[in-house]
Amino acid sequence: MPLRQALAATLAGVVLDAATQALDALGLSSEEAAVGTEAPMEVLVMVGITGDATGNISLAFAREGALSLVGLLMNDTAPEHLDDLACSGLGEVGNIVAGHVATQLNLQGLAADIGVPMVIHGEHLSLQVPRRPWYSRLVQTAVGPVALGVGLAQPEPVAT
Amino acid sequence: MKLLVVDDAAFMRMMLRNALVRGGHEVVEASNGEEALRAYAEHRPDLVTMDITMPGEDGVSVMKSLRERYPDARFVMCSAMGQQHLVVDALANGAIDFVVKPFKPERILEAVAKAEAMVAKAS
Repeated sequence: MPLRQALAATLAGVVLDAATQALDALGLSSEEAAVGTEAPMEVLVMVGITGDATGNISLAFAREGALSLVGLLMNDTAPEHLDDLACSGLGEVGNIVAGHVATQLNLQGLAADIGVPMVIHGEHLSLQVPRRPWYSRLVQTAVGPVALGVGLAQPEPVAT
Repeated sequence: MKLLVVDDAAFMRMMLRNALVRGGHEVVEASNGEEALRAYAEHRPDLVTMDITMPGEDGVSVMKSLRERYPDARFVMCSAMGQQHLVVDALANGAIDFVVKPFKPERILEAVAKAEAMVAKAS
């Protein structure tokens, strides 16, 4: 595997671990999903990362899982609809997860800032990220399966 | 206390409002820097809770603008992890405390109590 590709894969692993830990911090007690679990793709939360490593992270939920998560955050019953307030709550989830990711990137010696989250929902969504390696991990959580994704441009290797 | 909650996310404003009102505080809201400047001038809150990542002007810049006009203004920053340099910048520029998201209602009330103690000491 070429060095740059190996570095990108390592970085993606760091990011996916941080995102998984962030789900735990949100009270979702996540663990890697069993083989064969279908990846949910009805609600997609995306957050941009800028700095030494730039790109995006994503979280994908089934609709019911996303609604349950909003209910969990509110310490209340899940809302029935993905209205503006529910989407705002999911955006905050993206913000929190991206914050954990940025912290881990900082610990790796990389400057990283997070952007404003974007929430996209609908049936049969499909995410294509041209010209950038995209890594994903499917985790099982208290609100059902969550698909985590990351695509970061790796920093240029420093000549020694 | 009277608090101004500045956050672009309606969800976070609602969560903060619920926690603060339950804690016996009065709350006004703003969803960006421009609204925050207007709301501060109109309501003169005792404390501002300020989100850091917002579209347009970020929370630290808004805090600096407000402090230029109102040197006595008091701030608690609310941020996701991973924005350490902004948090450090905010604390260096006079923020009383910062609360990391996700937070429990008790944590935000603790930060408000800290501000209340400072106000009492100053007066």
